[in-house]
Amino acid sequence: MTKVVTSLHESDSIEFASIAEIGRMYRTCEIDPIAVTQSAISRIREYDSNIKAFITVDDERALSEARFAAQELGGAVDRGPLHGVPVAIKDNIDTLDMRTTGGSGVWSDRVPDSDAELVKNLREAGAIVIGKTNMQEFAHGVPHPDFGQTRNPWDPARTAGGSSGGSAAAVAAGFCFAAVGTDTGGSVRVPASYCGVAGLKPTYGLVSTQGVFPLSWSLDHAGPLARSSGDAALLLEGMTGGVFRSMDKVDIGALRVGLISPHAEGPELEQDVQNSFLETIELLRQHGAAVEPVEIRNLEIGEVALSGIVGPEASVAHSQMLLDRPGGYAAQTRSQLEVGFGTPATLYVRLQQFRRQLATEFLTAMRGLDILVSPTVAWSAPAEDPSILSEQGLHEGRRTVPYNLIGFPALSLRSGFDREGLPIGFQIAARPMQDALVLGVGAALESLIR
Amino acid sequence: MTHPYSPPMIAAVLEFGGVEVDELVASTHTDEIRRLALLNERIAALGLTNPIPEAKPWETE
Repeated sequence: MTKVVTSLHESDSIEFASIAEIGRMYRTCEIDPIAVTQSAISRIREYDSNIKAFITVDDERALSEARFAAQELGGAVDRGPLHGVPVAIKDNIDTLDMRTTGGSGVWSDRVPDSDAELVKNLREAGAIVIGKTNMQEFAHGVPHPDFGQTRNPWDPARTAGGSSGGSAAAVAAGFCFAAVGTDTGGSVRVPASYCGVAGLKPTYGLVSTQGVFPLSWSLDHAGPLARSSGDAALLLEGMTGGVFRSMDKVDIGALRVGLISPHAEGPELEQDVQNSFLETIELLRQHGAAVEPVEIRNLEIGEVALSGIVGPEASVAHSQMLLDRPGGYAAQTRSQLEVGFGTPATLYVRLQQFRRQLATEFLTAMRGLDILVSPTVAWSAPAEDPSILSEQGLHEGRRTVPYNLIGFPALSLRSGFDREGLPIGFQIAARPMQDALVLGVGAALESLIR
Repeated sequence: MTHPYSPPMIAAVLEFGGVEVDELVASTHTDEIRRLALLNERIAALGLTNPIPEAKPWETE
């Protein structure tokens, strides 16, 4: 166990190089995509039985794609920064001829006949899809017993978080250079926080969700996870087919920062997380940023509103499969899906109204400000993920859910560690379509923290 | 099994697909339905009159 813990993060080996560095080495012929892909596969084979980051790894296909990438790069065909870079895809996102289970027994043998649009875009950008990552069942329930809980590379006795825990763990463990996750209430940012990586929920609609199995049409987002904000920006560029171009270059000294006061406190907030957050705020101030507290009207309703929208939408999305294969679901997942059938329609409509009102409240509070900040989650990685319908589950998503409701971009990056050596996340959000700013602030802050 | 709350819709979905449900599942339903009912009262008190976020039904995938 000790070997796993000490060798699964923060190494100088090639598996932990940045995407930019790997790309430079490809183009100076110091290394090629075949060696890098082989190295990633070997690492997965050595360590993933303990972490369970992957549901499917296709060695042969990944190596075939790596050979093709090497051939193209050698022949002066350059598809850009992701060319020849191994990435992973969450298993609720369709991949052509590669098993896509949704983390469920319902889909244990499902093989899509086409790629999701974001996967098509990544392949066009030259990325190598090394495998499909583990997740809580259909991004909504619990880990299905067929696949197990993804463990945290920083401490395998802890969870990697959910629901994109496999993607976050794969990146943190050096199994790939970046991974795609999905985020309906925090499912990119929560595991990013627990695993100490950068995870972005982009602006709603920036990344296509065509070919991503829906949890909630209103709130679903697909987003990148990587070991830095810069790498996340490169993956986002690939996922969007170049619609997103590059992150902003940010001068911290010119930033006007809003600190969401209720999110910087609360009985559920662990002391180490609060300390790390306040230290990061102090760092921003020391480098010239203007930081001021912000209050957002009715925020407390937004914090607990998720299941009133996700519940009924997910129940509709799953209704046929619940009839056809109810035994394929884990019991707790099925329970959560069933409860959505009983959500009052009046609540659903009112919450849809409320989303617009909450977005207005955020925009009002952001007048004169560039970004909003908060801790990502109130605590570091726990042993197990709380049920999303439990009080702990509500606390876990308290700081991430509001951004799904309003669709604004929000990034989690690692701000520090707690006394047990577990990563702590710091969340940065901005106005719609300011993903480049959020990532640019993330990169600037990472350079100050590290 | 008998369910500890009355809405017939919920009782029906608990038998969805003829699958047995246990006490844990039933209790999850009960707690969540109560929480959602409280949330509904709370949000109704806001008196919102705005339309829901724009949907363009003529736009398909």
